[in-house]
Amino acid sequence: MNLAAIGVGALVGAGLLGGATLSMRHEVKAAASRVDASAQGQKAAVAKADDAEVGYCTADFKAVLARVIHACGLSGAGGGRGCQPADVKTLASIDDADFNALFQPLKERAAVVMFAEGSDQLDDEGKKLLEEKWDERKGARYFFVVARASKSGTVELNRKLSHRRANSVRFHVADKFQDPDLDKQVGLLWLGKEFAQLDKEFCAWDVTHPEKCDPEAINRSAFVSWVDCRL
Amino acid sequence: MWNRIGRVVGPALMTVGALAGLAFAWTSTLDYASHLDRQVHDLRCGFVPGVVAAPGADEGCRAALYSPYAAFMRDKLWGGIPISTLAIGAFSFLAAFALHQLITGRKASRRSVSFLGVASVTPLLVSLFMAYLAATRLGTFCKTCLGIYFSSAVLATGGILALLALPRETSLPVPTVPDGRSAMPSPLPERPEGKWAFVVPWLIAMALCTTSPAFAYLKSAPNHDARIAACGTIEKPLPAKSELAMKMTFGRATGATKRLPVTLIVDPLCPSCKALHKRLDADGFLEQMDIGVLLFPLDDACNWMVDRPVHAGACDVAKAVYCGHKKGQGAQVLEFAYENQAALTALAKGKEGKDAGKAALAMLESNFSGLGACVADKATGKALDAMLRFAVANGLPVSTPQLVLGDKRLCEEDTDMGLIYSLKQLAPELARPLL
Repeated sequence: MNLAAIGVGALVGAGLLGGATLSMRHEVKAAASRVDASAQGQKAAVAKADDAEVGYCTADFKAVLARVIHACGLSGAGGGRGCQPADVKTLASIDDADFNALFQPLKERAAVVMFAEGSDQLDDEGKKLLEEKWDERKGARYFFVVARASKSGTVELNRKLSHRRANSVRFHVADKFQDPDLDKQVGLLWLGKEFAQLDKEFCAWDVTHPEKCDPEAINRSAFVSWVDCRL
Repeated sequence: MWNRIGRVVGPALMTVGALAGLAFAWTSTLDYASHLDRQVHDLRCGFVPGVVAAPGADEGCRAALYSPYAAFMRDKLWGGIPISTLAIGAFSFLAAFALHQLITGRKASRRSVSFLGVASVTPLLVSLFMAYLAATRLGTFCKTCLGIYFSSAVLATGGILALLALPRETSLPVPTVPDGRSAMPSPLPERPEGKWAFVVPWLIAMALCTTSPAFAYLKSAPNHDARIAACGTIEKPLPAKSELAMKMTFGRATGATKRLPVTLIVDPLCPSCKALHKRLDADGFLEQMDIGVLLFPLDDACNWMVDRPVHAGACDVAKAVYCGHKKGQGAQVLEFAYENQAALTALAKGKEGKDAGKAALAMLESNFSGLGACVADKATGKALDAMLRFAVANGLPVSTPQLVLGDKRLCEEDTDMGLIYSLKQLAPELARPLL
C-alpha cells in the first residue's frame, strides 16, 4: 500500500511538474517564433516624428512649394539662393491670382512686413513682427519670404529692390537667431512688380503699418510665413 | 478529532492549497513567457486561474509583471527567469507529497509528516515577503499573486495542522462491525517513526522539482541580443553643452562622480514614462545616470505630431516641468507629476485644449508657486517646440518613453521586462542590480 501510494504521489508530481513545464516551454517557444516573425517585416509600423502638416497643404500648394524649394536653393542641391520673378513664373506654372490664392490659408500664420518707398531697410516694427513670426515656428519646416515692390519705377529697379528686401529679412533673421540650419529653412522669392501683386485685402492681415496700407504700400513689402507642410 | 485532522484534514488542505498555488503560478508564468516576444499582451489576471482580465482590470498584474521582483537573473537573460517558475516546481512537489500522505494516512511516517509540515510553510514565508514588497514598493497587489498568497496560506494551514496533530494522535480503538454482527474494537495502527535519512532525498527531490522549471525556461528562452542593438543611434545628438535637454538629478544621492550620460524623452502624463522612471529608480539605475530630460507631450495642444490629446493637459504640465527646471526644481516637478498622474489626468479629462492644461496646472501651482506666468510665456512654448523638433531631426518614434544611452537608442520593447538586461548590453558600465 505504501509503495503504491508513493508511486501515485510520484506519478502525480511528475505529471503536474511535467505538464506545467511543457506548456510553459511551449509558450516560450511560441513567443520566440513571434519575435522571429516580426523581424521578418510583420511588425506594426510606428509613426516617426515629422514636420507639421496642416489642412492648407493641398496638392497644388505642395507642388508649388516643392518647385520653389528645389529651384530656390532650399534642398541644398543647387548653389543659388532665392528665386526671382522669371523663375517664379516658370516654376509656379500658374497665374498671379492663383499664386496669391495659394497663400490665403496662411492668414493666421503669416505677416506682411512693410518697407518705406524705395527702401530695403527693416524698421523697428518690421523687425519686431518678423521676430515674432520666426518664434512661432512650432513644427514648420520652411520659412517663406516673398518680397515685392510697388508699381512705381522700372521693372529692373523694382526687381533689385525686392531682392534687397528679401535679403534684409534673411539677414536680420540670421543675425538675430544664429540658426545654423537657416539656409535649409528660409526660401526667398522676390517678385519685383512683375508678378503676383498683392491686393488691398492683404491690408487686413498682420501688417506692420496698417494705417498706411493701400494697394501701392502693401506691395512695398515682404510676406513672411512658416509653412506647415511636409514634402 | 486530531486523528482525523492529522490523517485527512491536514493533507487534504495541503493538497488543495498546493494545487491552487500551482494553477496560479502556472498562469502567471505563461503570462510572463508570452511577453518574451517583446510585445504587450492581455494578462490572465484574476482570482480564477487562467481567466484573461478585462481591459484595464489588470494594472496590478502588469505592475507586478514589469517589476524588478517578478524575476531573477534579469541581468543575465532578457526578462530574467520568472520567480513563478520556482513556485510551479515547489507547488508540484508539495501537491504530490501531500497527496501521498492523504492516501497513506496513518502509514505515513512521523518524519515525512514533519518534513511536509515544515516544507509547506516555505511558500507562505515567500508569499509574505513578496506581499511586503508589493505593498511597500509597488503600492498595488496583483490578483494572481493574491491567489498564490492565499493558496500558500491554505497549504501552510494544512501543514501546521498536520504538525499539531502529530503529538496529539492516539491509538484509541474505533468500532468495527465484522460480518455485521458484533462490534470488535481494534486499535489504530501506530504511525511509523521513519528515518532521518529520508529527509535528505526529500530535500534533494524538492530542490530538483523547484528548480527544474526554471532551468527549462532558461534553456528555451529566446536570445534578443541582436534586437537590443538594432534600434540604432541618435544621428543628430545634442551638443555637449546644449541646454535643450534639461539636466536633472534623480534617485538617491550617491556622490558618484562618473555617471552615464542618458537622455530621457518623456511625457509627464504618460503612465509608461512613470513606470519606466520607477523601474530605473527601483533598480538603482537613476543614481548612476547623468540624465537630460526632453519633453515630448502626446497632446495636440502643442505637439503637431499627434492628432488628438492622447494625454490631455500634457502640454501645460510639460511646460510646468520646464519652468520648474528653470527654477532648479525640474526633477521635483516631474516626479510630482508622476506621483499625481492619475489626479492630474482626471482634472484634465473631459476638457479640451487650454482648459485641460489649466485644470492640471492649477494643481501643480498649488505645490510649486510661480509656474503659471512661466507656462504662459512664449519662450516656454518655444523651448518645448525645440524639444519636439529634436525628435523630428532624429526621426524618433512618436511615442514615450524613450531612453538614449549616450547616443544609443534603447528600443521601446526593452523598456519594461527586458530593461535590466538591455541596459547591461548597451551600457555594461552600469552597476549590477541586486535582483
